[in-house]
Amino acid sequence: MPTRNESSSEHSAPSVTYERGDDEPYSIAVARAIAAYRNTTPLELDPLYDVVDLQSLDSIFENASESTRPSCSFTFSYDGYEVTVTDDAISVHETNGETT
Amino acid sequence: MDPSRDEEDTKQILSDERDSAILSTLRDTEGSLDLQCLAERLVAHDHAILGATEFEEQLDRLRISLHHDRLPRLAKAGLLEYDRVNHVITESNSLEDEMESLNAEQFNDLLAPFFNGHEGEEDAIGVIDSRENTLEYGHQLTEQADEEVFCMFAGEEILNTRCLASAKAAIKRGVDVYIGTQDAELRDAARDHLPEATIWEPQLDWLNNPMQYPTIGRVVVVDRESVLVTLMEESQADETYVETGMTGVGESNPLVVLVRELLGPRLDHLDYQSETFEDGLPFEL
Repeated sequence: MPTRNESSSEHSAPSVTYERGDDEPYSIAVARAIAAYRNTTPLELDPLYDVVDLQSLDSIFENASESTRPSCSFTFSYDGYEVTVTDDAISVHETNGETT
Repeated sequence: MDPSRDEEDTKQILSDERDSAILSTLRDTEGSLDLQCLAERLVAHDHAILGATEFEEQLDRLRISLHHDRLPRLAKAGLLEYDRVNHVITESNSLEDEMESLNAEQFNDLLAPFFNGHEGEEDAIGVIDSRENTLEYGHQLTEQADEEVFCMFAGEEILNTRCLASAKAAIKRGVDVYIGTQDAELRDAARDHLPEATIWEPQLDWLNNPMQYPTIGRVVVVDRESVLVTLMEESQADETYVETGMTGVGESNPLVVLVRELLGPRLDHLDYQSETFEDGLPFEL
């Protein structure tokens, strides 16, 4: 099972880093990471479909070769947060003073 | 959001196994069901046996994927309605209306030639009874091809010598030949016999969807304007298969239009994992 590390980084805004489980789809990990950050459940969040195509997100990482996958990174904004997906973790932090 | 995404989504939904399972589950309930129920039914459909922990994990993943991706996508395409707050899925009224009007008008038009059509007319759909005759018609189509022959097989007729001969002759004439089958051994065999042809594994699940409908035996599309589709129906009496062919000729023939619409994205884009697939993504990599 993935673990959840809460840390306050050097920046003032708090952030959550969610470690993705070995066979956990990236899209699922993203929803769980945001829920963990918001201290709620994934189903209480507005559908991510509105801001990102999760099927394409999964296929980017799944179709990347073993050697290029660790360097893949994808960032998007959701409800005032910045969500960054990498091969092994998803990090969520507040967008600094920006409104979308 | 990019408006072309809707159209792309609808095309994908037509061929996606998970999406069609969602829609048929919803149809079975005749009304509405909640997210939890839907997810449970789909997990039960996917896995015959799962340990309790694994079941909970699969169920949770499926609920997330339904809520965050599948259901909003299907709702946007007008195929169902999704209450995001209460997590309730209902059948889309507009879909029923659409089906009804399709039944009333287009369907009659589509079926009319079965009963009183004349072969050779642009909008006529021909019927061929018996496997021998459908095979023969498939060969004739292949022999007439000028540019492209695209076919999918459920059975092993691709290894039939007459089929191989007409495919080889077409390749010699400079025709592009595409052959798809779900059977890995048949793909290898086809590759051996026809090294110049493009052999691939169909991602379309309507070729062998385990539904109550008759299954599709073969699809042959020639120059994108002549089509043969055969249906395999199991005879109740002796468990043999009866094959019936439908044919359409001409760019605006309804059967040709229908098959072209369903296959279109695949004809232009045979391999999802090809180098160009990144171009189709809605954002930059």
